[in-house]
Amino acid sequence: MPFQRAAFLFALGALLCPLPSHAVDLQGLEFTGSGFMTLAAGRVFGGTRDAAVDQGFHCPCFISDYAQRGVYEAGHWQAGPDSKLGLQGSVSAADGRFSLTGQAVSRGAANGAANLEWLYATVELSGNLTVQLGRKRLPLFSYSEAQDVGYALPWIHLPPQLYGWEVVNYDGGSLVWRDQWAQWNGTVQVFGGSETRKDSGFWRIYNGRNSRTDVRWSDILGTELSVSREWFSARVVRIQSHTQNKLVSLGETSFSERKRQVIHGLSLGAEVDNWFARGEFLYIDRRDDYGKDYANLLAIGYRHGPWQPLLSRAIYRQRLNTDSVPERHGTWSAVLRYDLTDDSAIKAQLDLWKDRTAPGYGSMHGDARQFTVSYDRVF
Amino acid sequence: MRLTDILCRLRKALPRALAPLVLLLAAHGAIAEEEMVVITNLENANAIDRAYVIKVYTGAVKGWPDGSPIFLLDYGQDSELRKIFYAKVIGKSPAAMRAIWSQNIFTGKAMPPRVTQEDNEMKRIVAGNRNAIGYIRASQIDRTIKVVDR
Repeated sequence: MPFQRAAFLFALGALLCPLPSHAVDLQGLEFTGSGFMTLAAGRVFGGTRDAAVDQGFHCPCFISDYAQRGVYEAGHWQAGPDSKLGLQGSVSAADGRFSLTGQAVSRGAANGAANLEWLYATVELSGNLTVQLGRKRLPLFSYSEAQDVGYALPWIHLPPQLYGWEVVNYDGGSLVWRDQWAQWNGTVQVFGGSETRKDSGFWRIYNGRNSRTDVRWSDILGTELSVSREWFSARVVRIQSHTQNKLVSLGETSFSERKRQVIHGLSLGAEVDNWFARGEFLYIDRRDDYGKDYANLLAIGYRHGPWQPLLSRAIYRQRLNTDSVPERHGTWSAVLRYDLTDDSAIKAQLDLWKDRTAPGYGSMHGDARQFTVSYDRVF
Repeated sequence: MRLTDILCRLRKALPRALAPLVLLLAAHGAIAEEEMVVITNLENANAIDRAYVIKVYTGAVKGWPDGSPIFLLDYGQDSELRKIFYAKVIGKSPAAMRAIWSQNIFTGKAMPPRVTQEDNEMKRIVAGNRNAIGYIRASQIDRTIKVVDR
């Protein structure tokens, strides 16, 4: 049944694809419909298989998306981990100052099950000040909010060392201030809320394929500052919250004790002629729990007409409070994108995942060599 | 039928069959040659330059310098005017603009521009809305709107 549901949803996407995004005016309100889809297929063609712990995955395996439990396993081509279909609908007042937006995403990684990822009201208080209330993406990283929209990204799957965390959405509100200072554009966002994620995909990877872990982030409070000018952009973010887990499959009925975490992120981007480069650096302070997490990403790409090659390197490492073995790994990615039309593109991506965790680490991933191709479209 | 007869008939039929295509290409060439101008409402006192226009049309700026919200207008995706405007004024390909707006629309950063069909409709909306911004061919300029960038 799950496969039939996935096939139905992707067939629906294929039917909708020929339609451009469209708007309908009705009594002073404008209804807008649009969507995006990624059809991807990939295969692990090498790597190592760590026998220390069997998490229920057939390894060597490549983790393409921690949050959604997107894992490519050895031995066969898979279409599930990166394929997705998103549909978005908005209704806005004629003057554009008020709108209501919802976005549902069906994922191959979840056997086609659709989730409401965004549902928020927007009020444009002025040309500079915007308030949004509802369910949104948590802006942990530079591409976090666009992570599902394959067409808007240079990768098929964003480097998992950086773009892999247990919570990606939140319920709450944000206040955004946009302004200009000389040649600079600036945006300041303040946001807050909470999120309870039942059956976290992230924790299935660590606790076992058939496990179930619920996660709660409460008292989320964050600030994001973005600045840009012609060729340069920079972004800093700080998010604090309390975290709790509940391993339901082990019979736990209540959440663990609240632990404080503080997330710090820095992103830098440059575009000079046809070249573009990006650097992202993440530091998460979870000393109240297990220790610290560090991740970074460096990428360089080139645009030549419809072609866009890209090379990136991402690293993740832990520093623990105890003498336990910390997790460390990195991935080299090479991507070639070709824009078929103004709203569709094909990509091929080669990933080389190298696990540098010392022996003894419980949930070792092992090495993986992965090849993925995709067709992305917005409509 | 002999080969020479077939060639003779083809010679007569081809110009007729290709005529619409030739006209279409000529029209496209004429539009491509024409200058594009950015227009605003006559009552809008904000002065903006090319850099500001680019920020507006890439979603980086949502307000006028005086703080009032911008009512952004564009043409449909298949419009030749739009492709030429993006290439000549914004300096980006339609695919690059689509990628930028995909990020804006699907991440809650901006609503898509209001779409119009042709110059006259664009002028009519801009003339009736103090916060509107749009673009037309220079040959379509009249007294109902103000040109802020060309």
